[in-house]
Amino acid sequence: MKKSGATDQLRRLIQIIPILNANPGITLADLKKITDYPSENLLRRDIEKMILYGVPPFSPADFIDIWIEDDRIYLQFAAGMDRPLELSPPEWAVVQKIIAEELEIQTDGGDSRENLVSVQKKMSDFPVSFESSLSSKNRRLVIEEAISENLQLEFRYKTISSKEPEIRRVDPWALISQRGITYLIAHCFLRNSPRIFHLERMENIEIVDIERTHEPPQDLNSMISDSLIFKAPSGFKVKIAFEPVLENAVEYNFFPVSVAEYDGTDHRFKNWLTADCPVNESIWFRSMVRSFGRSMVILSPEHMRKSFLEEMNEIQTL
Amino acid sequence: MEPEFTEKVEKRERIACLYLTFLNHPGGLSFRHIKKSLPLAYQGDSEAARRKFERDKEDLKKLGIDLIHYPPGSVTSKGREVHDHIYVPSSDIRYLPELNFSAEEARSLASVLYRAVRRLRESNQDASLLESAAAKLFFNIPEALFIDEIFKNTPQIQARNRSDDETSSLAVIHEAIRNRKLLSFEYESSSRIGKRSVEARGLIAHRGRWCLVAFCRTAGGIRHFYLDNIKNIAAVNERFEPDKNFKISLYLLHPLAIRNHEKIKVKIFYSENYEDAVSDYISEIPPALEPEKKENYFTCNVTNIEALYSWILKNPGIAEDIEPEDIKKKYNDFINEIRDYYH
Repeated sequence: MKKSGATDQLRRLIQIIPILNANPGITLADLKKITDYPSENLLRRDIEKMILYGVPPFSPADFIDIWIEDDRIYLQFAAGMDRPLELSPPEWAVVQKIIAEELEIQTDGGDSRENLVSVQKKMSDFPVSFESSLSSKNRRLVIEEAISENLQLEFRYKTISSKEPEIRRVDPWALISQRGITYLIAHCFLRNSPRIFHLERMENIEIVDIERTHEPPQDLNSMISDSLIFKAPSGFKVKIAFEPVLENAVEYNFFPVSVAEYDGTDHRFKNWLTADCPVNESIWFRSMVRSFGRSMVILSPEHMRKSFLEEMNEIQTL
Repeated sequence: MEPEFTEKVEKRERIACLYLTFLNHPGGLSFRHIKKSLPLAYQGDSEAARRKFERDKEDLKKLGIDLIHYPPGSVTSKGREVHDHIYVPSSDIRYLPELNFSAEEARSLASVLYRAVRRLRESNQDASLLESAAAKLFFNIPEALFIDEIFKNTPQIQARNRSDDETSSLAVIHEAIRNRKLLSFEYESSSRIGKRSVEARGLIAHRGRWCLVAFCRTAGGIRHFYLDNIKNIAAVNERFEPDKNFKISLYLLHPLAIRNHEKIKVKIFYSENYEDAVSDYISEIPPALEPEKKENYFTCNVTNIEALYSWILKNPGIAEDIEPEDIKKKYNDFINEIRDYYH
């Protein structure tokens, strides 16, 4: 326990009262473990002083009634602290933050995200909706099982540039979410090296009953942070126009260097906004623009417009 | 050394008694009553004693009881004129509700908190908020906190560290919703900043981002505000009547649920090569839209047909047909209109 002031020490002691009330006969050793006190002696000394805490009119019956017997602690009167106060707004927020961070990753040392989402809901007694930050739930569950069981996976994978899917066998290491998109980090047997797979492009995922043979490298964090996928783009500039309602989405997905009102002559884009976006991967960028339908258009450079139209022409009408 | 030690303990006892006293008197107390109850703590003339109490009030605030002071002659928030120095907790004192965690949920939460506390301590950061939250959440299941070692040998991936601003905003919004206080903030986008005054209705955690759902007094309707675009948020001391009929499920951020037009029931025939993708897509559609999957097609209600078209367009080859016929025709027009942008 780090050195703390009188108020911090008091907060810690007050928090102990409902624990003692709910767990009669709890041992000093267990309480020390929970509260992270530096020693049982210090804990015993502080608990014994609680008999000086009470409420008006401060008659003998109005003080906390507590005693220690054979290293077990008993509490008779909790002076109103029978159960803890609800989480304060900062406590609630920091727990939500920690859970949200946890929900973005999944390794074999992690915990069930379904449990954590359920915890988030139970902790919030006002209208809140929680959606896991990892997408593609059904596919994710299969992968989570393989990761936790240390088993290999096989699936059909279509890269962003490939016409036909390839069969991939991998040793899965982790699931990670970046800006609402979920990726699998794994050792790929086809490429014989670590690879990052976009979950939405994986199909027919199956667990193979073979234990994984490649353990995650110690520099896994660096590998992830060095990947273009997880870096803010810094490549060539593409100018797009889009409906103003998409402004948040454009900022979230494309990291634009500037946003302005459309000042061109095409009446279809009147009152739209424009953004200059740095692009690392042009195929990915065009697929994202496509996902915004007719609410977004690439204005320049010309080669991006041309490629976009070629891709659109390959898409069949129904 | 000894006098210092004694003084510290005395203060701790005094603050502890004050804390328990206000816990048992949530409606507030006069200073006269406090002084009479704790004569040894507040000796001397009344004004000097009250100044000492004012300092203690700051410690009580750190413990979670924030007192509002009403001097003689003022009127309380309940309209009562006071003739003494009155101290009233600023918000209702509420106890932790029954959370009913399952054993698995408790274990998951405990291990997440445990790891976070350990990370903070290792980097010499303050973990007291998480520690106090854990003590409250597990007060009746302390065995959940008996975690000696939960890490395996797998290298741990460090998740994106969310900004402290976002966490502070969450705390302010939580307080405003619970106490029905108006929120004021600046909502910032790259092209403009606008001041907003809103009645918070709820929160949505959507794909890693927090979004406030609120009745915006500036716009006169329900609006969504992403927390990472909110600046200078504060709960204003003006209360509002909550909308008892508000249902957050009607304001989810799923694209199909955005209300652009009347509800339309659609039928999408899909390619069997995309079975997994279709199953995932359907699993994420809010139940209110009544998604239903059959052998080679699925149906659902849609209030934003453009979102469905965009999903089909993003996944070329996934859809083989759409019903009803007029919706299919509009899809084909949609494709052609986009192509026209590039001619």
